[in-house]
Amino acid sequence: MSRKKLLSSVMLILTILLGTLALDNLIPLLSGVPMPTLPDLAQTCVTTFLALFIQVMPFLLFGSIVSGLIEVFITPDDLANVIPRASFPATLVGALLGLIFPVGACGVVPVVRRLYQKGLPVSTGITFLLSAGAINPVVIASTYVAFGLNTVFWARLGFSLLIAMSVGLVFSVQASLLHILRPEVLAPVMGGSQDPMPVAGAQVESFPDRLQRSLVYAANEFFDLGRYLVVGLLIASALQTLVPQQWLLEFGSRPAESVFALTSMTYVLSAGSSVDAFVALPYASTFTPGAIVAFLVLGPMASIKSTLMFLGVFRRRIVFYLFLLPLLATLAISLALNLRLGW
Amino acid sequence: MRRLEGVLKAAVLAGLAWMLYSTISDGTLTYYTNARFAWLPFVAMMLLAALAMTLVYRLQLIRGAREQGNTPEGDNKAGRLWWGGVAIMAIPVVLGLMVPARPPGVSVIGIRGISLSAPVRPAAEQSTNRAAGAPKNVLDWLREFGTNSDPSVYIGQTVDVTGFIYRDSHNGSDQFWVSRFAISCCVADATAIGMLAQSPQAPSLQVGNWVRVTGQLGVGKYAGQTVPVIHADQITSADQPANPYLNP
Repeated sequence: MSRKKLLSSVMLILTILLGTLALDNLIPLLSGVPMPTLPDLAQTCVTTFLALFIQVMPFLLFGSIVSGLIEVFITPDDLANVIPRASFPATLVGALLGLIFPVGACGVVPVVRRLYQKGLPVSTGITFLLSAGAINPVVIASTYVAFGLNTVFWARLGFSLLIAMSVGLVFSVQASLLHILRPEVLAPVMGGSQDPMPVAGAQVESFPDRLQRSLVYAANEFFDLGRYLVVGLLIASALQTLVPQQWLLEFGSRPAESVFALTSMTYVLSAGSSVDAFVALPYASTFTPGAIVAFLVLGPMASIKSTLMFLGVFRRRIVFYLFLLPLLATLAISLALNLRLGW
Repeated sequence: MRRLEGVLKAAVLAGLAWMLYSTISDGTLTYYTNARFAWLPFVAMMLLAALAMTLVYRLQLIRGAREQGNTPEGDNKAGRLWWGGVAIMAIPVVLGLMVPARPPGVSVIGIRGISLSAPVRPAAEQSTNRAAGAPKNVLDWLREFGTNSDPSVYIGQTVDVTGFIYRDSHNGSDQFWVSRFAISCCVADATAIGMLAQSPQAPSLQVGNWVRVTGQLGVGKYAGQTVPVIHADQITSADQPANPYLNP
């Protein structure tokens, strides 16, 4: 049987390789025929979508792989031993989890979903979800490269932690996953199994077997949340291409309007948090500091793509709160910075 | 997992890997993102291929188990809309492979506007996009203009820049923009920047065409402001550069 198995996998890989080669030669022939050049705006919309996708999708992929590894290698008992029960230490752990799992704002979604199935406290998960985009080594490094160790850098770190932990504490009064998660995400928590591909007859799994199984989980996770990512990015790129943004830039120096302008821009932009510091940089010279802080703090917590992806994990009411609470907190902080401190 | 589901998912994963491979191999990746982040899609491509192969391999195991009479355990995903996810994830594959890669066109400027000032990078070192000794590009000039509020100090300096033609309602009949898109990380943050130029040839220039403009700087009026304007001696059509963007 194993020879047959080997033979057929080799055949499949060969088929894929040959198919790729054949298609690679076919596409140039096809490309002229079925797809005449798109109108300018449609083309730009496609280019924007692909650019966002190429930049953000790798992070969802990393997150899905981490999620698959967690499923196979971490038991609920392991987790219960590590995560404190009391709500404040639990949220603090959630806020710092991003340093251990540097998966970014996008990749954190599958990781949190999986950790919930392993019994993670509600507040820890919410805090991790909101802080992961900012409190992670890659993002900290890119913000440092872009801005240096100035006020914007510290404000981003501090306020991201503050908001993520506050929202997490708000959710700590809700101890039951039943009320916040979508029913199908709950299945494993309630005793059902989500095993996508059990291998019959394997009593004791070897390490390569477990690794393979985790990759299968990762693939399923990638598809499960990837569809929300793709839809979110399609909406984001359509909005960016079709809605005039020129007028937003005229508000740069006004204390309140500049905050609203960059807040809406960061929500629509949906750029990955590892690069958004570079996106914000061009605005640093023309926009108020509060607006820049709002852009960098809110972006990793709330954007079109993350709202869509949250829908794959949480009930709608919870997704709404996960949008509203960080938004209000960010607006309050950045307006206070601009109006009172006036730096 | 159903067999069909596994096969289709493996196919879409392989398709995504292949889409990334084709943008990396034909150089169109620079149309989408700043080359600085090119390692990201490369790593993703490898991982996607690994996932696709694992799925295919596991499907073989399941079939082997079935043939031996061991029915795999129950399928708990019955009724889930797995095919929806597969279909949606196929969208980027189809778009990436079927739509020829092209940088954004001039109509985007109508939406996002065009700027006479350069995006700045205060903390980090200024990256230049040109080789030593090459003439200053549009971004370099705009940076220089940004350091001095009096445009008359630049009068008489020689300019040799490449960009595409753009025209807006503030342009006089002999005036046009030599413009470029500046991107920091990807096309989503593309902003149009440009230098103003004037030439009697202006009315015959077609918007969107790439040109190389040489001439001397002078001053002119744009939307009521006094700004540096290129007095163009020569306007020759040019090829779109391999990297059409400037990276601040």
